[in-house]
Amino acid sequence: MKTANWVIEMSRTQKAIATHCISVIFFLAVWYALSSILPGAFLPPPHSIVRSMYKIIVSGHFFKDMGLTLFRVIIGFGVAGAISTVIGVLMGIYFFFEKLFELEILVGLTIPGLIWVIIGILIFGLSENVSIFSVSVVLIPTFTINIWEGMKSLDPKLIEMARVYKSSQWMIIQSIVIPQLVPYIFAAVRFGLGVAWKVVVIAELFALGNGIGHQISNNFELMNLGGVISWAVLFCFTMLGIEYGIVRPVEKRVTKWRMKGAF
Amino acid sequence: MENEGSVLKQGFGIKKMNEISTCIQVKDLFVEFKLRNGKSLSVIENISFQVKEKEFVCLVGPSGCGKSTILNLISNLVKPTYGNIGIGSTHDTHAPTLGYVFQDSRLLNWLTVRENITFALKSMQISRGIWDERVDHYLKIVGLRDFANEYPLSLSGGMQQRVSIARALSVQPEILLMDEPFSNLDELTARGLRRDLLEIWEKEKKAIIFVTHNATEAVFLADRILVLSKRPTRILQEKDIPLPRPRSLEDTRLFEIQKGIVSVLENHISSKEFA
Repeated sequence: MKTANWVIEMSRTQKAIATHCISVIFFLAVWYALSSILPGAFLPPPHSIVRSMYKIIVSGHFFKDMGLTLFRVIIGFGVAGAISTVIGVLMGIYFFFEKLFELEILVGLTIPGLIWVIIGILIFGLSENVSIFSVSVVLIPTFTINIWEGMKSLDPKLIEMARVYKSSQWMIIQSIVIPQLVPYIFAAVRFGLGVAWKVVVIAELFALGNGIGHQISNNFELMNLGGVISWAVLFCFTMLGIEYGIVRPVEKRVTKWRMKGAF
Repeated sequence: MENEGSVLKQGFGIKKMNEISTCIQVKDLFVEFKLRNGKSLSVIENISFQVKEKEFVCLVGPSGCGKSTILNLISNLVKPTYGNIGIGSTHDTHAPTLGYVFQDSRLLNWLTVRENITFALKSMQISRGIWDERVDHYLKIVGLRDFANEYPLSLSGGMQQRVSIARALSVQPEILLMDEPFSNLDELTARGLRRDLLEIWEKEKKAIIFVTHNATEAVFLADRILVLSKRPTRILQEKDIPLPRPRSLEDTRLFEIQKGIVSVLENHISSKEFA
């Protein structure tokens, strides 16, 4: 088979975009086919999901519940970030703290989010604290491991250089330590976003009367698969929006020094 | 009476030191490192030397000897086990300003060339008002005037080392310490930088202590060479080079001195091997 000329002439990015499109179209086609084969109205076709997503957005539920869910994720991120930074930095500097927390961190990574939600409910009852507690506790091991790794990878030669010029501790932290931790922080944020939303939805489902998790649980009680899918898809779009609209541009900005030049 | 006499003598000694305006005085220096198995490793054994103001001194020795350690002692990154290092003139006890050019440029890759230099200026608490002037002046001296807003990774190795030299000069140090600064560069780039360094030194007249394992580089640059032994480091030979600059690498006198240094080092290394 001979490859057509216009395919050869496409750039790599164009090929990547084209392949993405083919993949999405194929996925939608399979979905459409399944929805017409499966008996009854069990699986709604893609276009009816779009309609129901539109309804959710127009009704105002989307912004209210999505806002609440994101708010809980952000609070959990903040609490986990503050605690993990302290623990991770201590672990990176002192052998004592490294050994003190190492086991707990490794064990913490393996505990499912659901368990923390249940423990949270047992401690706090059905309250907002459950979501903050479970999100932060789930995130702490991941965040800490990243900061700890970052601390271990700091270049002691640069700190030596700073000591020759008598830099203050604060300048060393600001200009030498933090910039070297940046890639580790971004890795933690990416991974953390994925984990946090899975946990917050469970917390909302069990303990709270609003948020995405609650909406999904409502639709589940009505045996409404279309509603569940609509909320899930809306959430995916929001996450993509955060990744491409916030995380990537910020990352690109703070790592623009990596560009190689031609001098 | 005897006591009085010795006190007088000491006083005289200090005075004399001031007259020749000693910049660094290293006396009876011993350094031991503690190894992990509890034993101690003697790195530097009884070294004494002086560096005069505006003098260009090269420390030449085999790799793995304590050459860099001597610079780290002067810059207070390492503390001596015994002995002491006096910096600045004897009466004036202020901590002197040092510039340090490392083997690798040790630039902060996330800061622009300008920001890398202002990092040193800010660290040394030099007033903000003159930062721009200092940066522009020293970038011009190292020939990188147009690169102030570039990031280090976009520059070649030789240019990065020039930035590191500009950073060291920008704090207007009394003493410039250089630790094999050109050994990671190709020979042609290194030659260019050596010539530029001498030009800068003529203009700025700093005391320079330049560490190298390259005897040819040392005889090309230095007023005086200290030939160092393998670990534990001692001074094997001290050699003045009274030749005028600019020197030519083809100069037979230069070649003779270099041969002398190499043979001292070779004898030392082979005698150690048989011992």
